[in-house]
Amino acid sequence: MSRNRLQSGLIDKTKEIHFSFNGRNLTGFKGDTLASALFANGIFLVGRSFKYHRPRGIISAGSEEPNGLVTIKRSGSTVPNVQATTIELYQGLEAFSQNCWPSVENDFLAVNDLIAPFLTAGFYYKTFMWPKSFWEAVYEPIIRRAAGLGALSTQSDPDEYDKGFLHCDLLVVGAGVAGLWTAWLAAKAGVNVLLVDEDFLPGGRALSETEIIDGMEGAEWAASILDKLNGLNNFRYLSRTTVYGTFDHGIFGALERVTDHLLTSPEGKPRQTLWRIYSKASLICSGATERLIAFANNDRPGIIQAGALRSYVNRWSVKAKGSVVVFSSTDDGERTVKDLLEKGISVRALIDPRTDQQSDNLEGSDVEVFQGAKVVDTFGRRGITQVKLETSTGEYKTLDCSFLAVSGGWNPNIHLTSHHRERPVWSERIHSFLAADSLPNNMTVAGAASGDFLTSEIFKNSAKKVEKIIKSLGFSKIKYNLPTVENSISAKLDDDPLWYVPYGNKRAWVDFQNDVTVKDIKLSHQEGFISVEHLKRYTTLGMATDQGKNSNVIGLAVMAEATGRSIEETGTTIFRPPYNPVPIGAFAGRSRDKDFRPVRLTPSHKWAEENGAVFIETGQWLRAQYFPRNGESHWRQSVDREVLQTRSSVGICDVSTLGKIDIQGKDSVEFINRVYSNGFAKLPVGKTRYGLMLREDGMVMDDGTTARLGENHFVMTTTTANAVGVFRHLEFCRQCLWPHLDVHLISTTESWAQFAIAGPNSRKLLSKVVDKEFDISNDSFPFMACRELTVFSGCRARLFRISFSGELAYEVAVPSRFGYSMMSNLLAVGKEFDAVPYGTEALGVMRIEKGHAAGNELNGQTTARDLGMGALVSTKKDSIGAVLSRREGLNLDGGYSLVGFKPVNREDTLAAGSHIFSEGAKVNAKFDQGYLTSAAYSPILESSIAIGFLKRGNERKGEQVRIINLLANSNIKAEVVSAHFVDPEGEKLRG
Amino acid sequence: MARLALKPLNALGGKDLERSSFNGIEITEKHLNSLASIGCSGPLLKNFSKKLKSIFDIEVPGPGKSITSQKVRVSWTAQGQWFIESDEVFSQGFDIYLLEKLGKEFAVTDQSDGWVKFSLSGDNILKALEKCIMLDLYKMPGGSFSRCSLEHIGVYLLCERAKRDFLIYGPRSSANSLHHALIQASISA
Repeated sequence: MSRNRLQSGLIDKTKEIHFSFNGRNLTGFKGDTLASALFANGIFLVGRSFKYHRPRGIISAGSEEPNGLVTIKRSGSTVPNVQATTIELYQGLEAFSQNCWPSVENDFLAVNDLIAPFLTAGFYYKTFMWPKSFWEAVYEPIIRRAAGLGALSTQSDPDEYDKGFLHCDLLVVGAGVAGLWTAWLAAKAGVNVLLVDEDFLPGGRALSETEIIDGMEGAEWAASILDKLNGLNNFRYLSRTTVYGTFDHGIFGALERVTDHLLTSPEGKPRQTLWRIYSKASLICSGATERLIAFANNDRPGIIQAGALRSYVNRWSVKAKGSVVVFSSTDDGERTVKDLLEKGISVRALIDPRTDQQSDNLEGSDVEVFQGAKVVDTFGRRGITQVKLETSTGEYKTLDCSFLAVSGGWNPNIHLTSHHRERPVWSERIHSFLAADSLPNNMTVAGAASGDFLTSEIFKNSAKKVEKIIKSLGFSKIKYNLPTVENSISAKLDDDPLWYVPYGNKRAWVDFQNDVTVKDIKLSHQEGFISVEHLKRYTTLGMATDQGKNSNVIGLAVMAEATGRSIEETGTTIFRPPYNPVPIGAFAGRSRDKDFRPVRLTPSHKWAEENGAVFIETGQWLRAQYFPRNGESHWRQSVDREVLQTRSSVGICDVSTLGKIDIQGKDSVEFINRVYSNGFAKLPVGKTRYGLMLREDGMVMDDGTTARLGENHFVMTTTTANAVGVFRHLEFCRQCLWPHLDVHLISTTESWAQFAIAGPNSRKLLSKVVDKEFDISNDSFPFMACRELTVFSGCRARLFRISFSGELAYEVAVPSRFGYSMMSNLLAVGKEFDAVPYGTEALGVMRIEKGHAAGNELNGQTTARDLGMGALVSTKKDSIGAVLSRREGLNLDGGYSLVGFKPVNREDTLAAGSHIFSEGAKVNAKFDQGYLTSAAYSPILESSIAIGFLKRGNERKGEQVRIINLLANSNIKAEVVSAHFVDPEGEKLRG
Repeated sequence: MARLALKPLNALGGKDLERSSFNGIEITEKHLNSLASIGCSGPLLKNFSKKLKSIFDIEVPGPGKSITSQKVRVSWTAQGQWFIESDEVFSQGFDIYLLEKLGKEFAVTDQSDGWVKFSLSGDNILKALEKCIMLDLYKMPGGSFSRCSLEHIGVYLLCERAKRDFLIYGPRSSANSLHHALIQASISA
């Protein structure tokens, strides 16, 4: 292994790391990436291409990598599509090639490459047109299986993810030369700086180049600056973190790979953290991506960016075996040759398409320099073995080689600058796109990302930019000396850039990830898809996970040539977040499984748990659904018992989840009168009234009871589901509609443990609970009375005589901390009446038996008239929604009425959601007569019952109708009855 | 049957307060003996200020602030609205006590049972809180009081000592979820 390593570099050769690739055990060193370790182990074939399944090798050394996508095993599961170039090597890493079968060396679907002439751009659209029904059933599944990248494990993600929030004055994206330098200047000026970089070492390209900065090698210089920065308390550095998106108001999204470099995450530690960064200004120092040149068969393993090859050699000490040919239209070619020669690596030739360049630095070496020449083709089955070039005189030559290093210039990484739809602008100076002149939210671009490719220029220009930012943030100017830079090679670019080399009819790749060739782009033009947006979609150029980092500019250049326009005239697509893929798990953070949302527990939850309750989620609340007893094997047995016992004696239910809003202030009665459709002005102190709340459009919003505890003190209750919505609505009314009213609103839902005590023995039970000085007889405390009192020897409480079940009933509230004790004591006191606790299921049955509307009926589509409560919209006052509730359309004859339904055959079961049809009518929407909203089995009536909305329902009592449930395929005959199945006259609750 | 009395449970459901420590971060459930909200507006504001000073020897805190005196802590919760908290237990109700002291013209609502209170402290505390709270915690001075969301739960955050000691008031029904979120953030820090 060490035979493939050089002496210098930034890996720790004392720390060996054992890993495997495609089941083969290999060794690398601390500081390696998977890509550099594979390279050092002589493995260049890492995957297969998306469409043609051609052999592919690693072409880059960073997050732009389109070919080196692997699947890694992690925490007993697999993670697909991870870039080998960004995986930090760790002990026990297991990586696998993807999109190949049975192996990456011998891939069965490589046969696709043989039929490539039939698989050009638009192939699917043209070929799979007939028969139509085959598309979904046959073609698409086959195509999906054949094409693609890695596969999901289909297991639940075993890792944990976090989210977090960071604030800074200045966010610096990228810890290369520009990022470190500007972060240092800004932090020294007192600016609160956050520096973020996707690599695990600071330095960016300086880690891979041989320049000497301030007398130090690049990595040393970077580490020294970071050391100084870390000594400041207004600086923070996040390594292994990619800023993936720019959002509104200076907010950025960043993904930190917290434990991706470990085999498993330590207990409780996240694999990744998704940061939301709030910044006052940002400096994008995200560097540039080296551009390849398209030529025939330019996708063979061993063909690599020249800069990436320098990285593997200089940073990761990889000794490239065999000889290297360099093909470059910029001075980076010479730089590459020089670096390789210095490391003792054999360089066969430098092929430079420029005719006016002299490679003085290479004089005296054995490197053959071909000026004005171009690579036209390559050879080799699973990796490059030869290049064919055309010399300046038009001759063809073939050279043996193991690597072909290519450089066609650099494309600034400006993705983050266009996430707000700022369109990049073409620069003739660098033959690439730069960020728009005007960027939002105090964003600036510096370094190679702004088109500065010479290190000394980067220092000078970025310092000027950061000075402006420092000033704009209100900090004072600082003094500095520009770092010295030695051993630089000029960054001179070709005046006439080389995008691709035409050669016969062979395929030259532009987009490696989606297998898009020069030919495909020309075909797109030929078939009329010349707009960049059409080009993108027709060929899928730039649509893969690399977001066109490697392909966009060449693709546009080819299209520009085909249309006879300049690249500027051809235009460009813009980038969207994410810059690099972000796992869905990171977006979810900890909001998954049982932690998906917070759970709200009722004050008597613990008691219910101890007493075997079965719970049900109602919004965020966890409520007792029913309390099974020994011998009850079906929930209906428990619910029937709870209903029967409550109706015959007494039952107790925790109803604390109902919204409770404390309303105070001298205008509170006026306020309530305006938000409820029925009158409240005359509600006396000590009384409770049912209230109906409408939306502005006249539809019913919510209902509840409101108790007047004092002259200017009310307690409003809401349905559980609408507690938050109603409070928000009331706050809107208070703050925006009627700010002049003296009203104060406080939600007290959490403060009180409230219990419904229902049944003929409820008063008897309560009389043993309420302290003796309070009279709760029917005369002193009649139906709808309320008052503050004490229970169980002095505990403050509120008592309301209201009934949801239709029984003689009360609701008693005590401070929440006594919820457990209250439930326990109520049951203890109620033992002599055989009192039972009942859950939401029995609560629902009893309210349906009574015909009380609840959430199913207040579904946003119903009016007060539909509910049989038209009279509750007072005409003597104005209230929200009153005017629009009188709209003609809501008051037509033949509208819905809330009525009850009983199956003619008692054995039949009615289901909520079923639709109602007249006897003999066709079952389709045209003849629909209404729908059932709530249904239950009534143990009192010993029958299934339902309530629902029926057209002209009030006039149709006694009529037999059909209840159709298309989901259950049932058709039941039912009789229309009153919605009040139990005690229609309300005698029980007043007794 | 002997006359029964009601016995309280803490918000996390125990008789004793919960206390835990992770990564040098202490999370402690605190007693919330007496907490009430006070609302007043317009001309009453001046009166409120005077009464607060004379009764509790404390100023009225402005937006985002909380002030603690020997007797009570007063925190700004919204325009014309404050939390007032006392360690004392008022058997008749804190609201009743305050109405007697301040006057019936104020809107006072007892909230002693509406909230759970956790204290969080330790060297790593900011590393934990930044995982669940979107506020700029590093710049929060002692005495800051802010409403924010923590893992989908609306809470109040009180910074007692900058970068070191915090109190979180969360809805009582979500006490367990809130506690769990704080523990997870602390382990992860």
